[in-house]
Amino acid sequence: MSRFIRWPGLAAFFVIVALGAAVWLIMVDFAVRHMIEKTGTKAVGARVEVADADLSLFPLGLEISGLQVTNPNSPMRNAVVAEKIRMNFHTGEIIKGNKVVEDLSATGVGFNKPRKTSGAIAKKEKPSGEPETSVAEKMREKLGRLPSATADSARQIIENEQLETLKQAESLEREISDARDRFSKKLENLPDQETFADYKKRINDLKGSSGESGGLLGTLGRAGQAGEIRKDIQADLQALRETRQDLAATREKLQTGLADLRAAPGRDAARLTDKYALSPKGIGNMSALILGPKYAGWVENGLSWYLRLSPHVSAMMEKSRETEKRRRGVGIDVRFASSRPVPEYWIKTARVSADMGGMDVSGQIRDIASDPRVLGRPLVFDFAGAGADNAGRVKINGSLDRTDPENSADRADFLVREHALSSLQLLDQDSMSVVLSKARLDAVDGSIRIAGAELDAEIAADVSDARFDVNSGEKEHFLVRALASALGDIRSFDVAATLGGTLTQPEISIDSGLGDALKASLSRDLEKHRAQMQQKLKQAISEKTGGAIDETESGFSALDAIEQELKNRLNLGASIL
Amino acid sequence: MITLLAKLLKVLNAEADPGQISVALCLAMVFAFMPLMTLQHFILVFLVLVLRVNITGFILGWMVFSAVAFIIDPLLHGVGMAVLSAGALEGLWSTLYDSGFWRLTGFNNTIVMGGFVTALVLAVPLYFLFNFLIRRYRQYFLAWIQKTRLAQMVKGSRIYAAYQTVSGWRSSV
Repeated sequence: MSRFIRWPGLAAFFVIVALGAAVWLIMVDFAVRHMIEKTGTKAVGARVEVADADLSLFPLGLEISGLQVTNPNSPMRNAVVAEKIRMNFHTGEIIKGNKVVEDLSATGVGFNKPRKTSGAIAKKEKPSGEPETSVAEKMREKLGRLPSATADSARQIIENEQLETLKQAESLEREISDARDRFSKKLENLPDQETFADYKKRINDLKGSSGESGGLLGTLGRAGQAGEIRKDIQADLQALRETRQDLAATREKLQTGLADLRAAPGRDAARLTDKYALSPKGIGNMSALILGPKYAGWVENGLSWYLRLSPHVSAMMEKSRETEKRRRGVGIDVRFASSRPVPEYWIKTARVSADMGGMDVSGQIRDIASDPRVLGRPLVFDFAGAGADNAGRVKINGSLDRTDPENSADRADFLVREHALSSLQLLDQDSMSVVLSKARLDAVDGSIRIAGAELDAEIAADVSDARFDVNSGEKEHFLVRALASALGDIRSFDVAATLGGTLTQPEISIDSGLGDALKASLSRDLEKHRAQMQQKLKQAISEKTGGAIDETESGFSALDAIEQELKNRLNLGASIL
Repeated sequence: MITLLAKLLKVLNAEADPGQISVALCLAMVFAFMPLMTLQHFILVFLVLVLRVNITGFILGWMVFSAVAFIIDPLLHGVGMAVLSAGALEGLWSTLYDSGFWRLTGFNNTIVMGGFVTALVLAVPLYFLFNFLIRRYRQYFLAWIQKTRLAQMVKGSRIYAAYQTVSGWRSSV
C-alpha cells in the first residue's frame, strides 16, 4: 500500500484545505462587499457603497450594513439608503448556482437623502451631436412655460431677440437697390437728349433740302423720309413710356413694402409680448405651469428608475445573458431542462421598512426573480404606512407581471390620506420660485398601468390648508407680485393629473382648481401689464429700427430721379413731334 | 532557512521514477484543462498529495498545460459544447443538472466538460510518451546538461550543498 500512498500527503491536503478555508473566510466579506459595490454601481450608473458585508455559513446568509445608492441624476443625494439588509440563502440552490434568497429584510430604508461626497462616476462620453433634451424637459415644453420674469426691460428683450423689422428693412432696401440698378441700366439704353438732338438735325436737314429742285419725285422722297423719322421718334417715345410704366409699377410695389415695413415694429412688439408677457390665454392652464415642472420631474425620476431596475426583475435579463459574448477561458454554462426549474436569482420574500416623507412605511415584495417565466407568477408588492401619531396614512400595492415577456403588464395603485406636506418646491426658475411651504394632502388616489411600453396613469388629489411662498430672483417683477398675491388667497385646491404616451415619450396633463383661481385673480392685472409691455416694446423697437427704415425710404429718391429723367426725355421727344 | 528549503526540495523531488513523473504530468494536464474551480480540482490536489507522484512535475506541468489550455480554449469549448449538446446524453445531463453534487463539478460548463474529456482522452497516450521521453532524456541528455555552465553554477550554490546533505545526490530531473 505504502508503495502507492504518501501518508504525509494526506495531512498536507487537510492543511492546504484548512488554509484555503481560512483565507476564504477572511477575504470573503471584503470580496462580497466589493462585488455588491461593483455590480450595483454598474447597474445604477452612480456609486453604490456598502459600509460592511458579513457572510455567514451556518445558516448561509448575508448581512449588509450601511447601503447607499447614489441618485445618478443628483450625485450629492442618495436615491436609496438602508441601515441593514439581512438575507438567508437556500443552500441547495446556491450550490447549483442559483442565488435563491428565502427571505430578506431591509430596515432603515430611506429615500432621497443627502450625501457627504459626490457619488458620480466617470461616464463614457457619448458621440458628439445635438445635446439630448431630458424627458422632463420635453414634458415641460408641452405643458407650457411661465414667461421669464428677468427680462423685464423692453430694451433687454430686444437685445436678445432677432427683430423681423430689421430683416424686412434689409430685404426692402435690397429690392430698392436692385430696382435702381435695373432702371439705371435701362435708362442708358433708352433714347436721350443726344438721340432727340439727332432727330432734330435730320428734320432740319430735310427742311433745308425742301427748296431744292427734284420735281415731284424729290418732293415724294422727302415726305417719305419725314415719315420714317416720325416713326422712329414715336417708337423711342413708346419705349420711354413703357419703361416709365414699369418703373411706376415697381415703385408702387416697393411703396407697399415700405408701408408694411412701417407696421413691422408693431408686429414685433406683439410677438415679443406674446413670448415674454403672460396673457390671459396663456394662463388658461396655470395649474400646469405651476405644478407641471414638479410633476414632470417626478415622472422622469420614476420612469428612469423603472427602466433602470426593470431588466433585473424580468426576463429581459435572461435575454441579455443569451446574447452575452463568451470570454476566453470561462466557457458557457449550458442550461438543461430541470424537473424543478428555478430562476438564476430569486428573492422569495423581501420585507422592507422605510421612511417615506415622514411616514413609516413597511410591507413586502414577493418573487423578485431574474426570470418570472420560470416561476409562472408575477412580482407583487404591498406596503402600508402611517405618520407619527397616526398623522396620515399611505397604501401602495401592485405587481410587475413579466410571466409573458411579450405582454408584460405592470400596475401600481396607491392612496394617501391626511398627510402633511412642507417645503415642497414647485417651481424653480432663475427669476422666481414657488414653494408650497405647508399643506395637507386630504386624499390622493392614483393608479399606474404599464403594458409593454404604453403608459396609463391617473392621479387625483385634494389639498387643503395650503400656504405658498413666491420668491423673485434678483429683481422684483410684476408677475412675482401678482402670483404671490393670487396664491396668497388660495387655501385649498384639487389636482387631477394623467400620464400617457410611452416609457420613452411620456405625455402628462394636469388640471387643477388652482388654475381657475389664479386665472380669475390674475386676468385683469395681466391684460393691463401686457398692454403696457407691448407699448414699451413697440417704442423700443421703433427706436432701434427707425434708422434702418429711414435709410430704406431714402432709396426711393434714386427711383424718383430716374422717373424725372424719363419724364424729361418724353417731353423732349413730344416737343419734336 | 536554507536547510528548510532544501528539505522542501527533497520532498518535491522525491518519487522521481519516470512513471511517477508521467502520472504527475497527466494529472497536471487534467487540472489545467479545467480553468474554473470545481470539485475535480480538490480531488486532483488530494490525489497529487496522497499518491506517490512527483509534485515538482505536477507544478511544472500545471504551468505549461495552463498556457496550452489558454491557446486551445476554442477547441475545448467546442468539444464541451458538442458533448453537452449530444442528444443521446440529454437525459443524463438533465438528471445531473438537478443534483447539487454534480453541479459542484461544473459539468454543464463547456470549458470544464471540454477540458475534462480532452484531458482524459490524451492522458493514456501522453503517459507513455512522457515515460519514453524522460528515459531518453536521462539516457542521452542528463550527463551533457550537468556539464553546462548553468548546471555548474547551480551545483556550486549553498542551497545545492544543503540539498545534498539532506538527500544525497540523485540523478533526478
